Amino acid sequence: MNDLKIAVVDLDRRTVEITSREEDLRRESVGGAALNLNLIEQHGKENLIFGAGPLTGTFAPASALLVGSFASSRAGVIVHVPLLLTAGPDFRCSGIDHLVLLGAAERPILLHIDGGRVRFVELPPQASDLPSLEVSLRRSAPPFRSAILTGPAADAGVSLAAVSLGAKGSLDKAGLAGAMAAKNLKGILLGGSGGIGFADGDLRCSLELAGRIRRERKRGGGFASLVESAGGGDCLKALKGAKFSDAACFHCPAPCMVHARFTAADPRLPQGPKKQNGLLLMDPVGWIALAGKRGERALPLLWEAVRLGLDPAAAASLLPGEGVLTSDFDALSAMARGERAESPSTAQAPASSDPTFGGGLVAVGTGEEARRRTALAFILGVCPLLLQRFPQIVVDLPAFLPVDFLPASLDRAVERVLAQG
Amino acid sequence: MQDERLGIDDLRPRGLEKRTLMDLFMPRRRPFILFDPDRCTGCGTCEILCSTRNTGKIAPASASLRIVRDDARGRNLAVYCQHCRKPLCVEACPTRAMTRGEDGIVRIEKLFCTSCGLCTAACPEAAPLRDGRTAEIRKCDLCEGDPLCVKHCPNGALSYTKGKAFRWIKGVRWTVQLISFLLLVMVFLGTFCYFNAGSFGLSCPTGTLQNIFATGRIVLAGLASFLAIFLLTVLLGRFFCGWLCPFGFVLDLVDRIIPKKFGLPKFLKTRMAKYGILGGAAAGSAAFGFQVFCTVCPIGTLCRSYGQQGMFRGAEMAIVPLLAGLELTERRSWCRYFCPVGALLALFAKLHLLKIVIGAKKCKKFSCIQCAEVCPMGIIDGDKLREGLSPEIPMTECIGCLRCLDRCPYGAAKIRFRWQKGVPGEVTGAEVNR
Repeated sequence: MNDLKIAVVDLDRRTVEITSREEDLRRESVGGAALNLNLIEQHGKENLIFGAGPLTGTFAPASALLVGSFASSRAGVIVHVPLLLTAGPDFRCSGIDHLVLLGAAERPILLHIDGGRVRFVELPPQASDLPSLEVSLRRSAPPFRSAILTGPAADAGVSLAAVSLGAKGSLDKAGLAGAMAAKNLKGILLGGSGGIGFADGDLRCSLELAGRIRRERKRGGGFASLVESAGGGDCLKALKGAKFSDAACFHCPAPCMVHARFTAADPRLPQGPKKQNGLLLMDPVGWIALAGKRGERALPLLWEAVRLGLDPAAAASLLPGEGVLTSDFDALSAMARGERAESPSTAQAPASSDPTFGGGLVAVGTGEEARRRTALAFILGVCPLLLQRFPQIVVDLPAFLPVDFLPASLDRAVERVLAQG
Repeated sequence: MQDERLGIDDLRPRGLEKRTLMDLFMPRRRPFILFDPDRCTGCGTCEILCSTRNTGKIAPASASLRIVRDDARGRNLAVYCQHCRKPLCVEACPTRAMTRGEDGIVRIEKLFCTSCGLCTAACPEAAPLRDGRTAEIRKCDLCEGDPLCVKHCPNGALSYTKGKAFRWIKGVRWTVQLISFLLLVMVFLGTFCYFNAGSFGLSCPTGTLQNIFATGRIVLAGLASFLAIFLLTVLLGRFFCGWLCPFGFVLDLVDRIIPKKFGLPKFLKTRMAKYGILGGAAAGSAAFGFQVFCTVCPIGTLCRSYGQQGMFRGAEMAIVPLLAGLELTERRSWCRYFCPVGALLALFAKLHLLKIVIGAKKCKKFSCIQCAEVCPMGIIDGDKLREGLSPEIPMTECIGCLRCLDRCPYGAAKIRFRWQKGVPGEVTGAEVNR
């Protein structure tokens, strides 16, 4: 097995301790959500853990998952938030498998991880939104490939806040942004300059698997299918007029996101010119909530919600019954500033049916088997949606695990994750 | 005996290889990878495979290409080496670590590379990438002709081309230009100004216009000429300027020899001066009673003076090199700003039937803009292409040389009828993936 590197960062004292843990920990908990649970038990429930699975960043298809785990006061369970795109591989390429965040910083700070080291980075001059924060970080912070950031909404202590991968948004609907803000952690920058080893047969196996998935994918599984399976088929009409191209997470052969390009005038600039905007639609739940309420105006509203670091689904539930784009933009800004009364039902409430995987995952499958597959994905570090859409690949995934891997430990880890939920 | 040790001169940047006559007509192949942003999902499989070849590990930061998610445009971009014909990185490298091989692949020789990063600064694509871990400079070497990224891209967003061995439009155009030059200048003396075959005569349209103003009479041959040139120009645009004009051929040759050293005043950029010269020529002819511009017309003097009788027209001979000297400023600057023949054809070309369109959506690289670079009339807006917008090409200024069509590696430049709407690659109402 690979070395398991765990970084324990005390934000209060600004100390970092990196340990290469003995193999028994991985044998016991495998990785990802299961090992995060283990670390929460070890360090205390008030702490926040980020962890990658043993397959994260490998040749396994869609090996993109990084799991953020914390004890959610609202949900009353330990919640595992999926962070996709390239966050997982970049996390592991930065030389760390798990990150334990203890205490809280005195003032908002950033962490930069690269080369197996964790550094504290001072926050650049306050940026008004996530895109400008990312730009100023690209200019002033040490080089990074991915960033897990919180936006103005989290700064204001709003519980509708969601974590954002760069300025692209995320599937966080469980309050990971709030948990980070409580620790005065503005973001984590992942340098991702290292590498991950692989075995000889992994590439061949990966290509075969990807081929099978692509053939199977012709029957559906894209963003529209996810929206439909979440009961929002009508909400697809709201995408009329926009142009699309597929988007996928790290090494995923079956893209379920889309880049949407739309033209809209910025309602904050009276009579301003129409401008082409782009947006990554990665959150079917958020899209259904906004499109169900605002129809064709949902695209600019989703763009604004992501820009302010708000969870679109929760924000949609707080929008007034009727409204024009300008008033909706004002409402979103007020929410991000914490000036709008929040309904307790929307704050930190996992939108999916299963609070354990408290993100915005669409429930593609139902029943105990589907839950087991999701737990397996959270432990191994692959996209849970891929395993739900293509359950037949579950049997192939252990081929990417190290040879000394014990299948029984995986079963135990799955049971453990499901049991705590 | 010559000292074989390296000296300071050996370390100085050297220029690119000298171009041979063969390169002029049959340039060496330029192999490169084509990127289709509409197909790219940003999964990064290309980066993974490239990095495994570079480092033996899955290390996207060590790949020789980079996929950038451009959220503002709502699409992905790929940064990788284009293996340019005239690579700026090779010129910029102070240690000669960059070379362009006989096979057209630009390589980096690690032994000599000091990772100074000047190649990255010089490259318009910023394609030589710095390894995130070792700080080495890495660049695509096309896996020596069998790129892994292309082979395994799950969505077919990357494709590999060995480049065109021979650009047929270029070959045909140069051949037609040469034949036209030989016929008009060397064989039939003064043919361009006036050509008489039996009872049928044709003459230069600008000369005819001046003649009308000078004599106050309209001759049948002049009218026939007007009509013929008018119809041809409506049908083919300013085809004459790009393919037949002997002075244009001279300018194209001169352009290959002399560098661009000077600028032209800004007021010329409106391209209205040539219409002023045309009006002045007509007014002057009316005032003086003869075709005033014809005495200094570079096309006419070229036809009259450089053929068999050329040696007897010494003063006229000076006009051609004098006006060809304008090439020190911009390509075909005479044609762009001054030529009254071109001005008259431009007026006819307002009724053009054909147009050239460049589809920015099909143009896969925003920074390629080779079409804008090769356009001798400078009418393709490269900045618009960089923004991902299709530029509008003014057909009154287009000389129909078809260099843009010939050069575009993506097939984004097309000839269309005037009434045809849309541009290549434009997809309307694409459906969200299911």
